[in-house]
Amino acid sequence: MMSQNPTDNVTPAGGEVVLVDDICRTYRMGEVEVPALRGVSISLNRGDFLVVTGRNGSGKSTLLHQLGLLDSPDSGSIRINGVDVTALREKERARMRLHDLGYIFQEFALIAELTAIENVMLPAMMLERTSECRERARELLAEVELERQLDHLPRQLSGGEQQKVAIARALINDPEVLFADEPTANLDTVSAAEVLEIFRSLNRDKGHTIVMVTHEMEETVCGNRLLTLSDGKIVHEE
Amino acid sequence: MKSKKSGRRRHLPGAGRETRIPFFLIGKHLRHCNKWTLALIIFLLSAAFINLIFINSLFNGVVENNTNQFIHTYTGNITLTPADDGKMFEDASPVLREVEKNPEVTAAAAELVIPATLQYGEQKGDWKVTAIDPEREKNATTISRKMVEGAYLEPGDADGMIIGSEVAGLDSQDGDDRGLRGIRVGDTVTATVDELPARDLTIRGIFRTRFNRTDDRAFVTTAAVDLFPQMKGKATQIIVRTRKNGGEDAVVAELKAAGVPATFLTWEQAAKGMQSITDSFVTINALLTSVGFIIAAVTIFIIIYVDISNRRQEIGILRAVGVKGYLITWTYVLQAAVYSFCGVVLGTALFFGVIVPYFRIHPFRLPIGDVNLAVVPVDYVWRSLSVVFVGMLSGLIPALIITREKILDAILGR
Repeated sequence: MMSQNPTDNVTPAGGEVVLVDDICRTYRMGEVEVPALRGVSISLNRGDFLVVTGRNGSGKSTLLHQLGLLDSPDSGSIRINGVDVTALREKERARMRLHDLGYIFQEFALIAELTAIENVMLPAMMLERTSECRERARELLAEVELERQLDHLPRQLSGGEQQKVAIARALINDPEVLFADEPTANLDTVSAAEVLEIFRSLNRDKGHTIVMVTHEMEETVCGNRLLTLSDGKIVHEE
Repeated sequence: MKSKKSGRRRHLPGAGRETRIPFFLIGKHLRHCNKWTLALIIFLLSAAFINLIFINSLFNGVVENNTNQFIHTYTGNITLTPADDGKMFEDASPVLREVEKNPEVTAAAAELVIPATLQYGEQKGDWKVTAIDPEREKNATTISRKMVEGAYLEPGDADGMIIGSEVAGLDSQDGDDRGLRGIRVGDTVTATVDELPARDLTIRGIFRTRFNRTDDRAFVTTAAVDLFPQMKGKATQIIVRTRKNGGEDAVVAELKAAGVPATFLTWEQAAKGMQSITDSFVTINALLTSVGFIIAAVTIFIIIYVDISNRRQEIGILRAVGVKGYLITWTYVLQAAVYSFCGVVLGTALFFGVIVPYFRIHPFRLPIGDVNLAVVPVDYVWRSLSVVFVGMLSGLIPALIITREKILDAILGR
């Protein structure tokens, strides 16, 4: 009998990629317990562009960390492609992060000693030949208009360029869902607009499913769905 | 960019491919990292390595020098004494001929050691005067090459004597009345042996081997003692040199089998009195080496631990993009191995290229002689491997700790 790997894609027929059911997450700061998420439930279909907003401390980044498998909820469940990821071991979570999820950090999170193209191709090197990885990384960097900066180290790039490299890296393994945690927070206005346009294009033209956290109200119009969090709860959804 | 609508790409299993990751990351790290920091790390590791081999080499040098001095200037590899508990070989010549038939024997010399009183002006003292055949002795010991004044004895010189630097008082300090202070080549000493008539002998030369036991001796030719009929042709011992140090027992067995009429004493047996000194050096060496290992291990651990701990965010990022934990761990373990290996290579270059040549020119002056650094190959290999092993362990521990903590804590530095 053929066995099925728990992280293999088994997308439900309705195109539901992410299903979050009543997750809670509490941080402990010394003796004090700080509830960051209190019973959040959401559903995300393929092709959705969900913008999550809220004030500082509302729990929006915490939610994204749970979805991106960088953290685990205390209770509730998260299903990605039908797989309950809260039950996975770290090895399987790493595999899912590599294959199915792309994560873009506010602070870019590039490896300082790798050039732009090396940063982008690194996750693909786990799966493909170096020449294929390099070619695909080159394509992705060209898509974000960084074909002239392929061999630049992160410190030789502007903030906007670094974030574009981070986006290309997130896309290298063709993920199911792209998570972006305040991707424009550290960028100037022009770079921020460029980055947002890339996300719009990825969703509109390529059909990528995106979850983006932002606290800039003008950026909430980027997506086709909006979620507002306050004190770890969903207070508005449209 | 590949469209989502064109379908997801299928990835091949990456078991073989993913092992490239550590080598890829190490290569890029070495290429792009701060070269001064890298140089400092490698230099500190090389210093830790040099510390490990220096002390060991010094003590090995002491032991080796002690052995060499003992063999080359004092006992030879094997010392033969009369078989029947007699005090002398009545005629050493047939014994010498028999000994020299053995192919492992390179030289043999008969010696007649006579306790004597030497007087130079108002100064006098008791020393062992050894009667030798200068030609044979030249091959059996290195004393002829250690003359600091005058010349070595010539065969047939019945009136000459050479004395060691201790006898000549060359190294005596103020207040030290040992030695015939002020004696020079050409001066005359009066030698008295028991009831025999005193003889005046002319100092032909002074030698200094820097081995106290040898420098405290005086030599005359056999021609000088042949003047006394009761000593003619006699010898108290025969010293034998063999092709290599070690393996003397086999030569002794062969000489016994050949019927050489003597009692045999290898240099190790003869040096039993010195064995406790050698053992002490070995013990001190072991103690200092242990301490050196601890210091080196802690140094290496701190250097590599700090370096890798400072790359906590990088490890978090690698985990966040899906690089497996074991690959990340291996990356930093191998990187630590590369650091350590480079430290060993640099340490080796500095040690053999600078330190050893320096001490060859400026040896340590000890009572047993001038001591150079002596590296035992096994010790060197063992210490090199130890440094690399400790380095890898120092990389493994922080890498394991960081790959087990929460990804966000590593990335955000919490």
